[in-house]
Amino acid sequence: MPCSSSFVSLLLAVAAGAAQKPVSLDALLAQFAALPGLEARFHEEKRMALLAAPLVSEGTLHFAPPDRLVRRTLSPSPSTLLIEKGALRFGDAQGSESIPLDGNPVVRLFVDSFLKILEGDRPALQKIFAMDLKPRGNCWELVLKPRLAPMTSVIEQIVLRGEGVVLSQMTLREPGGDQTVTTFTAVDPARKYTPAELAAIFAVQ
Amino acid sequence: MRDSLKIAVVALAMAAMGAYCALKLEVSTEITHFLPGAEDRRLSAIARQLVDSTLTRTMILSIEGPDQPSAIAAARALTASLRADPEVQWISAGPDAALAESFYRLFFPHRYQLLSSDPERELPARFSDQGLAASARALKQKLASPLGALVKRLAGADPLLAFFDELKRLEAARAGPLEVKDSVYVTHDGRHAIVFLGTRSSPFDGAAQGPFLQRLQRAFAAVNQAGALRLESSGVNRFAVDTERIVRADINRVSIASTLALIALFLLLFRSPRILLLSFVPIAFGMLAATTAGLFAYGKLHGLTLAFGSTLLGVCVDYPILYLNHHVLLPAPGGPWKTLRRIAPALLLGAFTTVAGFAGLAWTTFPGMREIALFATTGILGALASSCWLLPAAMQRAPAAVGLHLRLASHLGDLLEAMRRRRAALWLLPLAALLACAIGLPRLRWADDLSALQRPNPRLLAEDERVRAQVSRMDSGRFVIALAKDDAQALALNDRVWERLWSARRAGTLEDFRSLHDLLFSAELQDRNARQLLPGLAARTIGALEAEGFRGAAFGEFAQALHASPPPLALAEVLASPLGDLLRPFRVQLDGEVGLLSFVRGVKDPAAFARSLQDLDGVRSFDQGAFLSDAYGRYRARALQLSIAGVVFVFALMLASYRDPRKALAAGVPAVLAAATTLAVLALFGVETNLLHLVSLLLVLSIGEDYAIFLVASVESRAELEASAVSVALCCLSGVLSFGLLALSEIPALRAIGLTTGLGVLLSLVLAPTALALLPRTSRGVQ
Repeated sequence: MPCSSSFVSLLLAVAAGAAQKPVSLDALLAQFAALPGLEARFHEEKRMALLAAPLVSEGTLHFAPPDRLVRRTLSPSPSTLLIEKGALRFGDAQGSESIPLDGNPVVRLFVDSFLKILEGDRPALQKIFAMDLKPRGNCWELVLKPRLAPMTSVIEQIVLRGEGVVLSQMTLREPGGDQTVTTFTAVDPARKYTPAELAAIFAVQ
Repeated sequence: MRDSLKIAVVALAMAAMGAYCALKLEVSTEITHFLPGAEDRRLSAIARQLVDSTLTRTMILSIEGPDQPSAIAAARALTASLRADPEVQWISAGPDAALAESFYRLFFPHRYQLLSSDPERELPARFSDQGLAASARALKQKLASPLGALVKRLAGADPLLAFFDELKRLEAARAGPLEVKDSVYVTHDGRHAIVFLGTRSSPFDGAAQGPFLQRLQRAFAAVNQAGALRLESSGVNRFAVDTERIVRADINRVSIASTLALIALFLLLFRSPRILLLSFVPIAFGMLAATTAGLFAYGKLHGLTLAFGSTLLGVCVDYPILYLNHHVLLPAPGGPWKTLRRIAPALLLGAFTTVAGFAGLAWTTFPGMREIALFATTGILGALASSCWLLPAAMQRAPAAVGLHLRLASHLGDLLEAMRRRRAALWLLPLAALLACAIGLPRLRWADDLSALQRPNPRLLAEDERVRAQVSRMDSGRFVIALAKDDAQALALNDRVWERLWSARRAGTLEDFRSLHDLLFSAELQDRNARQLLPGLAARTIGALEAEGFRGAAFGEFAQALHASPPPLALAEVLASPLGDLLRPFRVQLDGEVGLLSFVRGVKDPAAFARSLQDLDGVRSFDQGAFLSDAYGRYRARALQLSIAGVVFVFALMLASYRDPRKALAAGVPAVLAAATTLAVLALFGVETNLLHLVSLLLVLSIGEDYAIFLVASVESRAELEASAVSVALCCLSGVLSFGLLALSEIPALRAIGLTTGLGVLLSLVLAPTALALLPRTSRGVQ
């Protein structure tokens, strides 16, 4: 039985061998560290007290090791978020801006929660999060709780779910009760980017 | 008074002055000392203040490592090490976490007073129904973005996102082109980590900065034990310390070499340790008197004054040389005091004409020039007084002259006699000088920029420029200043400056600028923003938000804030907060006025740019380089006027003394010719002349007059002429030596003084016999 009904297609992409092995944090992170690249679609729902209805956005996600990540939002309005060389660039119809991650610890936490897992960097993850991996058959659930202020006042916990190296869902819960659920589909954990693709995809237009 | 008592008085006075100087001597290299003071008092005051301000007390350290983590680690370690240094007032390797919090506490309550630079034009559209709907959509988009969690924290109180605009401006003001990695400033290329520090003392305080720079190097060496790191730095203190080192070295070199040369000459001619010792007392007395007077009047002495003072040795030594030669070669039958009485008129006239020449410098508004004037006149009078007071008291009644001395005197006497006999041939000297002047003077080129005084060490300058390019994109020394009587008025003026600069940037006549306005508006502009927050705005905004899917109840804090209307945020509040360090470089405090600076880059047409600000009362475009060049040009013209007035005054003094125009001409013309010919020769050799060349000509005039006066006073007696001729030759030799050595200095100012005076002294000697041609054959010397 799949970990989530929406991830049937993702599970098919998981390496067959991975399903046979017991899931441990080290083993899981080692598998992520060995990824040649990753591409997925995402569907995000933000539920917050400010809004009567959830904010929904959709787009694609690309990861090229060791540390390049781009999140392209296609709807409701196009925008690009690129993380590269420790800096974050954001672009939308209004223009683009760079945000140094070191000057923004909260943003850094968001970035690291995802990027460090894909990098398989356990020491870095342990530095900022208390981690709890819950294996469920071939599937797993990883709960990350921030250790340091001011992140503790912004994020209560991040819960990642997946099977093997196929990440299926990320849930971010805030202290006030607001919650963001991002679901990943069409995950390709064996994506290899050509130099031309790297230049074209990992850029802020 | 008995002679021994007189000697004791001189010794006591020297001991007292020596002790005072040893305790109080402080050398400064502040270029402010040579900044003009009067023509434009406001700009001069600004220039002065900027020379010792937060800007000039800031050092930038750039640490390059084999990789970025090494550079970052080194920056952290160096910062930790230097933080405890007593000279370090503040140090920062990265953004202060408290800064953002401080910014929030101070600026968030005023976010709606700092919305727009043009509230009457911009805000009605922003607060229209369409504008509010657009703001609601923008907020929703921000919340939907990956950075939504950051926006959401303040969205309830600031759905118009006014504070986020302010935050962006803070980021721009804080780091400039730098990036932040692991909480440390790094350059865009990722190779350098940057540390900023402020010193407690003035960058020109050599006593504090020299040791501090050494401690800085030691601290870096401790961090760089593996040797893989490279430190480069930028700071005015590095140039000041370097200049002081060179000035001190030059002074020592000139003093030691001229002293040794004088010792050799005196021993050769007099072979008497007593005379040798006595000849140095007036020089030492003059220097001590000058230093004491300078310290008493100004508290410290500028390096250039001391360097110039060391060349005064060449003038002060003239008096003992004249007296000793006369007393040894032609002792008066009545003893040493009678010898003094015989030469006193020439001695006094020579000294007073020199004093008159230098006293003229006091009429300039350069504090440095006035200091030189005081130093020179006191030194000369001290040397003269001690020569007259001590030398006769300490000399033997009839000292024996050595053979070499006598032979030299005889040969020089023969030479002068021969010249007198061939008066027509003697005219060739002034004619040749006039010819040189006719060819050379039209080619004279004046250079009035700051490099005439101080040319920074090229190695240090290149390093400084490399480091500055990593952290700042504004032009060095170019800005617009808004001057008013207090912060509030200066801020109001600064708002108007910002409008002009913004328009200039939009028109492409200015590449970019940085203004305090980006962070803070005047109280008036804040009030104008607040007046646009019309009743009903909160309800309409919440309505627009609800239409976009927001819950209206979540924006209660916003509605309260909109009607709270706190008093405008004052500059003093920001300056007193941790943000103060960010703002301080933009503000200067002048006498009873406040100046706010806007730094600019890439002014396409400086004259047109200045004109575009002309109608704003209290606003000036300032280009430090152009300002100083203009000021030096004006002061050079002033110095030339003063020199001419000095010549006229000295001539009047001679006329009053001689009561014979021909004698006055004979004593004055050779010196004037020597000075003019010196300028002409410099021009012929392609030397660009400046203010200091001109000031040095005063020295040439003084020395040249001494030579001619000594000769004129001796023309009636062959024996006296011989003694004066030897004196003049000795004076010239010592002068050429000391000034010639100064001409080798690395400091342009010292080189100018040395070159001009060395050449001038030589020409003074060559042209001194012109006096013989101008005198009537039957003339009697001054009695």
